[in-house]
Amino acid sequence: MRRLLWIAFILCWAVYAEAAPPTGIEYPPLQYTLPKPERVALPNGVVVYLLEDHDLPLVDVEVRLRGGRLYEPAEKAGLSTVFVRAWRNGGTLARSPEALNTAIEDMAAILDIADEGDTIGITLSTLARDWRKGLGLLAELIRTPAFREEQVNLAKARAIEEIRRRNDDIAGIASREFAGLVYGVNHPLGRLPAVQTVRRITRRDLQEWHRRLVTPRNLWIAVTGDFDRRIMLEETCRLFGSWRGSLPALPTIPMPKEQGASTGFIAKQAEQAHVRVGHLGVARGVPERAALDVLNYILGGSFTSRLTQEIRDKRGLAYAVWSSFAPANPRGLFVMGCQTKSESAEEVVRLMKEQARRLTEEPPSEEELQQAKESLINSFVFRFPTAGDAVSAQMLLEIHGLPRDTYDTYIARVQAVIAQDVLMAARKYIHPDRLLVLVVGDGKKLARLAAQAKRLQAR
Amino acid sequence: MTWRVFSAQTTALFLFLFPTLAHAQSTFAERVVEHRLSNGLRVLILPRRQSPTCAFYILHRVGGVDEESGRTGVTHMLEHMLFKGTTTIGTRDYEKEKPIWDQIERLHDELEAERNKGDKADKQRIAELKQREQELLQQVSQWLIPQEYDRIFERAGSPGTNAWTSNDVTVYTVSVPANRIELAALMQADQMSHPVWRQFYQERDVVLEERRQSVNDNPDGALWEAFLATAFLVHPYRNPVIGWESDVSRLRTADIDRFFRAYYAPNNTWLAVVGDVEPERVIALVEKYFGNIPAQPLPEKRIPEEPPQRGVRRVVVKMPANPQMLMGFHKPSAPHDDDVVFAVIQGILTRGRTSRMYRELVERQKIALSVSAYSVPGDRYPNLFVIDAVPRHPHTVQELEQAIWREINRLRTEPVTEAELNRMRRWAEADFIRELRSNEGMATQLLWADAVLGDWRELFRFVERVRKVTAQDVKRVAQKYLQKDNCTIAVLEPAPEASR
Repeated sequence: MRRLLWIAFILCWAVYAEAAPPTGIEYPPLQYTLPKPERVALPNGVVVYLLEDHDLPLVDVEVRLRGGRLYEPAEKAGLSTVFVRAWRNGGTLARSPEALNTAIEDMAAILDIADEGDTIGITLSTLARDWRKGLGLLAELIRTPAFREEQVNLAKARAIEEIRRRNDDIAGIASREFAGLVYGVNHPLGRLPAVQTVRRITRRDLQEWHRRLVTPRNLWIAVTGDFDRRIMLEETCRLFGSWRGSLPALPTIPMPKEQGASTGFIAKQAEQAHVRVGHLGVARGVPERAALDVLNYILGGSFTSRLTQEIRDKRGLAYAVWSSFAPANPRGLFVMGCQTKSESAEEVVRLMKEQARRLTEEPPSEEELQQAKESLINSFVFRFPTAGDAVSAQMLLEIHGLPRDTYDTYIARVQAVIAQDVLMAARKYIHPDRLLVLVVGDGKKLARLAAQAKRLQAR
Repeated sequence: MTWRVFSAQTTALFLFLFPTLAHAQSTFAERVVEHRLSNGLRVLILPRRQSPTCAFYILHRVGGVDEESGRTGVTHMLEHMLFKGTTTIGTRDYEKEKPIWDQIERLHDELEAERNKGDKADKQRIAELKQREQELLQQVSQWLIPQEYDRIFERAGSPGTNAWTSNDVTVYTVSVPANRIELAALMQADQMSHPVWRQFYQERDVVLEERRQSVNDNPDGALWEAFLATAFLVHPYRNPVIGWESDVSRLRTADIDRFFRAYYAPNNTWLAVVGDVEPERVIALVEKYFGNIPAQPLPEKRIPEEPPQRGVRRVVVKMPANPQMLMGFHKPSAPHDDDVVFAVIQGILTRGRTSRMYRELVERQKIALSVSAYSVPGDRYPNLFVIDAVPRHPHTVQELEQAIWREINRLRTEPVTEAELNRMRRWAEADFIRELRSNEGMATQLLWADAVLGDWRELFRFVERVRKVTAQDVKRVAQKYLQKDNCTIAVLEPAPEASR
């Protein structure tokens, strides 16, 4: 057993002067220590992160593995969604679904499995007095799920009903179809499940998927809460240590292609138009991450952003307007979004394009830069609301192959960003001549825009 | 509830919080510090050392129910306006900008008069007035510092300021790093005592966009609005918090000003501070910044009482979307004993994978995609127990309604099991502990319990009350309230797409 990460991390906020007004308040320095878990690698490959936290009588467990809808086969799109539900609801070899659910809920515990895109997360929350029983059930479900036919059919039927309903929500259409536009509808990040792809999924597929993904070499466990680390570790070893398995077999994901500028339009009966403007974004762990966070704060990531000022405050054109530069595997999205009355859609598209271009033409003002940096640095204490959040986030760094000190160095990296860095990041990652536009809204009111756009259908 | 950002259709997030493990319960109760300023402002402080952060939440006991007919949405509009700055925040020189806002106001007098002529309105004149308004806005912009209120908080490390308005209350929320507590006190006191109604008419457009987004184009929102307006005939719980569209589009600064002066009094205000703070210091800061806001008499209210319902009511909303339904039953609100029984009924019917409706309607009969239940739309007055259900194609809302009635009849005729009651007691404990994990959650709970239920201690009294609920209580309450003549049913029916 090894103890790896154990570096205290103390930050001092007093260096930052307050913007005026209000003036005359002295702030005592703030000390924040990022909660640091212990990391233990079991001989069979399972990695355990542990942190005792006795503030409340609770224990939280998060198990993660690489997998998720990114990796599912195209002809069975929807498999991963059906997989996580049938896994959770299908019971274990030793226990019927009903028996498992009763055991969990009689303890007021929560046990869920969720598809997180390129990972799968299995979470358990129990009262401290129940953690042994809860962890035992969790291990049983992870190692010996039953995927009972009835629950497989129910999960498929639910997925099909969700497909039937997905276009009821206009914002959902905009998000999905924008991804389709950027990544292409055949790329795993752009394609969607269809009724026929879900129908093809069989119980055997799910069992096979479980065999491929759920192995000790692909399993990370974060445990936080009111327990004794020695006993917890013993119990974790007992439940997961004897298990043997090979490396998971995950398909390689093709890199999405860069595309030229275009505008798509989808007709939908609505008073508002939903607007998305952007293009391919960044992978996880690009060296300019801190500069991109500053950039996004200035563009549309805050209430004081340029997009909020121009579109919401000055013109009253929207309730919500935002931008995002969230990373993803293999590439994330750069996207600006807004809902506005149909008559304003063209103006909003113009303003967004203008703001994107402006970022590549001139560095932000010193005032904007300071505002963004101070906000990002000073709000770091809110990044992980609970000790469990901090532990899970640090475990994810390992899963995603990112530097383990990513959060320890974050403040220093933001502090080092200068206006020129923001400009360079914008020039590297924002391409005003390649912006893709998607508008979803009323075809009559948006006739001019629709006439010039490529007509698309909500899938 | 209607939020300043990201509207969330109300589910009774706060209503089903019941206590607890004896230990956490008693330490929690001992740690809460109460204080009342001489102007009537009530302060609740809960120190927690989990992280160096704190939530600083303000509640004014004014919501949609306090609005007059024709001016619905004024509470929510006022909430938006409080982020526009004060006489010192958001401005380079308030004395210079003020006369320009006055001119814009007079211009809107004329605009309104013209619009009130309806078809006979002079379009040319309206265009001129709008042009003139643009010129004045251009002129005034030299004196403004846009978003200064948000700018200051974000720069101090706040993850964002926000606010929400419900039928019952208005709450302003900010979290700050623990060393910035004084900034929060100073800013929030200034916000509630010296607001300026700048950029009102642009913000009114923002709210109209919010309404389009959350109601007009949103099947859930549209169904919800029709449902409440049908379930309540006279009580103001029938009105949407965001306001009826024609009311909002005619709101003026005089409306919000009057409302602000009437209700944002310290003697109608609660403050909760939860996090890494010293109670004595918080009290000193609150005295310093809020202490000199004068108390004032509150308006006399005459809120109509909802008469007993006499027979089932049905309403249909047609939109291009798949079917869904709401069923609501009039009932007393918290802290009434029967409300506690409803919290238990809610759990037995719809909470988790062992609940009756999940197992029966979703898993066994396979006619529902989902079923949930909650109490809405407020707690200051008698409210509704709502069952919210989505059918699974090709099953219809009619089939679903039949199945729901069968489950209700079971409650009315057979006693629930001891195992079910025990599970609800366990949930009650666990919910309470989990709620303690977040400063923001605790601040909200304390404010709600104290301002709406009359005492923050209701939060942990609830545990005992849930423990005492018997199978007999459930049967009695089900028989009394869950009957057809007390039921309102709202259904979303698919309509063809109109747009091409």
